[in-house]
Amino acid sequence: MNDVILSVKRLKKYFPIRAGVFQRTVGFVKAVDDISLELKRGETLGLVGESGCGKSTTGRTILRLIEKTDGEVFFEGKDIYRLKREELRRLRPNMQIIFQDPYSSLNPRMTVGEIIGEALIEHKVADKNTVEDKVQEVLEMCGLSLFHMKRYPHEFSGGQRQRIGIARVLALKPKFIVCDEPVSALDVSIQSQIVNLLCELQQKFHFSYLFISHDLSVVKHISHRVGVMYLGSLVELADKKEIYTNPLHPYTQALLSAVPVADPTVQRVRNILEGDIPSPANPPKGCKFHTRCPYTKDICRAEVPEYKNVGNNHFVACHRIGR
Amino acid sequence: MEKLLEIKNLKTYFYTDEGIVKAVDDVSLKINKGETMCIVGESGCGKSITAMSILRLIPNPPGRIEGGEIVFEGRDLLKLSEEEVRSIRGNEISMIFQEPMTSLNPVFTIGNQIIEAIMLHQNLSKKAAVEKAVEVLKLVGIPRADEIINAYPHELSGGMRQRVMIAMAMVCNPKLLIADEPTTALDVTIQAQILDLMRKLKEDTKTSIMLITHDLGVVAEMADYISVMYSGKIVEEAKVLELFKNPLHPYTSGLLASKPQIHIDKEKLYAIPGQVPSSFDLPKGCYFYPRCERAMDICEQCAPKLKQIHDGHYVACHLYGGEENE
Amino acid sequence: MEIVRENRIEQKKEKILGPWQLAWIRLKRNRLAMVGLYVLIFMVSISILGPIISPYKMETIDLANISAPPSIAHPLGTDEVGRDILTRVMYAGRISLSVGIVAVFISVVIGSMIGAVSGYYSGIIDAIIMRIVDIFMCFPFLPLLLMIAAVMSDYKINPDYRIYVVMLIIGILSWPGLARIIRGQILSLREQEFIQAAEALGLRDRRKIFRHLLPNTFGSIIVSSTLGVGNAILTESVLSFLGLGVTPPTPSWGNMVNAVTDAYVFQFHPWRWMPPGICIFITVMAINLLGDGLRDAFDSKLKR
Repeated sequence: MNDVILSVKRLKKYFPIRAGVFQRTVGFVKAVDDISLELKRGETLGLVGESGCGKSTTGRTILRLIEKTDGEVFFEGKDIYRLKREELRRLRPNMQIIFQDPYSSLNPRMTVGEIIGEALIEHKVADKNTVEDKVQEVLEMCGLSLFHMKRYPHEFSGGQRQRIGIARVLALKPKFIVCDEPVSALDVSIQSQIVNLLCELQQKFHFSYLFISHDLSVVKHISHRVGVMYLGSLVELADKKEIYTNPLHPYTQALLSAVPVADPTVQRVRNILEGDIPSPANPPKGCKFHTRCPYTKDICRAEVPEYKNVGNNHFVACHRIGR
Repeated sequence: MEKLLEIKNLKTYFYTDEGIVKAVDDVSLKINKGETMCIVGESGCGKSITAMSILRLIPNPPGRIEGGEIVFEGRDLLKLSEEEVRSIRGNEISMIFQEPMTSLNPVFTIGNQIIEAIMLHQNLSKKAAVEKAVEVLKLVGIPRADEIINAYPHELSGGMRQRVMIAMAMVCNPKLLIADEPTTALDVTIQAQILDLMRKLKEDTKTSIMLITHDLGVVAEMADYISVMYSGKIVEEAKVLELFKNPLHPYTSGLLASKPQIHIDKEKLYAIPGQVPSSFDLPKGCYFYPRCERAMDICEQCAPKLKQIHDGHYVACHLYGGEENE
Repeated sequence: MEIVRENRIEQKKEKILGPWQLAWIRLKRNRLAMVGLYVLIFMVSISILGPIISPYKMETIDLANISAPPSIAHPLGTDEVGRDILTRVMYAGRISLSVGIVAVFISVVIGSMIGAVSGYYSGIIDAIIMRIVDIFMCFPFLPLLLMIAAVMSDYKINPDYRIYVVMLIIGILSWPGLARIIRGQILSLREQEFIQAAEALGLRDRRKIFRHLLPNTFGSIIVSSTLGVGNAILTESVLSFLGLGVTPPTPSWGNMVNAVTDAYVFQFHPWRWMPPGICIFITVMAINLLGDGLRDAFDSKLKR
């Protein structure tokens, strides 16, 4: 049960910034800057951070939907960046992604049956005769009915479309799924349906999730471990319980205290961060967080803190910790 | 407490090719002076349309306000001339929107837009208007206000732009500030800053706030009084503590139970079954009936009326006395 | 219990509306476009059926009635050798419409293939293809045709084959515009999440292009090819008018209007040049109205 299914080592993804008549590269947006993590079978790793911190890019680079700049991604021991195109294509069914936007993630010109079934045929999991049964099976698992099969995506509400997206992934029986903000675009009353569905499916099929979200409450509910990203780097990663009760990095602390609690009787000490998130094209030197950190010292401006284990598999990158 | 704004039986309908959408269907609510009133609901429940109806900003066609009254300090806004409404907009009632980028004009500097608002509504010289603009920008916590005043909207971050929007809204000391999902497009840490700012402004200026949101967390932190909307109707309203402690309508309690909480661990989330109904195809009777776990026969037949259960707590549900329905 | 009730509510709206039906419903609401469609159907059907019903053949010569004004026997009169104008106009409709349709078909096949490949692979392939498109686009269209027509006349090519050459030339010279449009659409579609999903699902390139990308450009392909048919008919008319396209005795609307070059005919025999001229005008107008309607019908995407 405890084997590692995915291992990411020092992954980097820099997007070039081009300017001028000749489109010369004048700089880089460091969307993913030296990220290492591991994911075990049947485990959910939550990845939280604010917009522009590179969490979605991380998810997509891990799946090689966009090419890396540097680093390694091992899926079941194989470095997916060393695979040839055709080998990668054959491996695809094992690692899937659920998208944020239930509107643009389904092809508007295909029926639900075709959307779910086409990859099954392409990978020869099913043929033309058996595909309908398979589609029906996953539709039912995702809380949709058989008569939905002949319909087109525009006839569904956001929550149902997200179920279709999940059914498409589920049909391939993947081992690892990147969930890229799967509930952020949904209404509150629908969010919990989808979260519950994801949890149920994980229990049934032992999926490993990389659950990307900006919503700390949802991440807390669904994850076993949680990583916090800031400007392309992981600043803290630990067991869920550990990170929510004993956050070490000042950014994690601020993030947690900023989440509004739906209970007017809870009185909390807020620790509101000053200022804005710096642009990832021009991140601060030293510790990237030092411009907003309440505890900034000289060393924070000068040196990048090391991302290290401070015991109990609690990783953190901060000069205040473990000195 | 003194009433500032009272909406009575407001009906705003949209006439589309597919049929009539009753976006706001017989909604009544009131906002007291110095109070924050929250309207909570999911997308398409009519909360934004209610707010836009107050300022008569409904695009016509396809939309039309079909009935009701909106009484603001003794005057019915729906009976005023276009001219009179314009003098109220931005002056006595102002509004901030979800997406600050689209509500700022990209070709003018921040300063230009604020100064224009000041000069439009207050008889101030250009110089005095500039001073006032810098002053409000400082008030909303913008650093280097005298430089930022010459910046264009795209040079600012989302949080900064929302602060500018708030500055523009507050510049004429409105009596009512309508905030339509002001923090939805922002990150949590920035959201905390903006909410904090709004709370501070409310205390300093005694402005009433009508806050429209889908986030129960934001509601719990900001609201004095809450109205819950579902499919164009108000299903429950109460004071904030009362509503969170003792939600009566199955939809409200469902919403509260389905939200994962950062300070409580739950084994499994409660989920309201089914989908939000389409506005073209609303069920007969109670709109929530198809999704309600406590539905009764009567719910399918006739729509419940909003009635007071106990002091200041109103609910529209047959579970709480269905006798006087016609 | 919950699910049963929900399903009952959903099953009420039984009719399944695909993207095509939706576009059709929107098109039906557009009066002008529907007028265009009906006129077009009328023109096409009389072009097909007319010559079959007509008592005359297109080359039947009635020596008793040369250059006769409209009469009961010849509703639109006859030409200088006594051929029935109505029959010839209807027959010319076949030629002109088929030139338009075949030419556009050629340009759609080439244009969408090349546009799709260019947009999908981008990078160096895209750059090369787009330069080729640029070259085609700055070809001097008319001089080239004049040249080819002159060559064809020199080699005494059978007038019947000239029609096919005209089709081919119009088709080959008009694909670059469409290729550009398709490429642009594919580029923006590629950013959509369903294409990323197709990549993540491990679908082959061929499938991604033909099942996911191209079908989503059908709207603009249909719109631009509809308008293209109108343009091709006009081009054919111009060429035939100048005696470079379809040549007599095979009639086309363009070479029939050519009669107008004779000042006497222009002044005293309007029945010889007006009917084909009016046909060109009405058909192209109808096509353009329909094309505009189709654009609106497909444009509003699939959101309701």
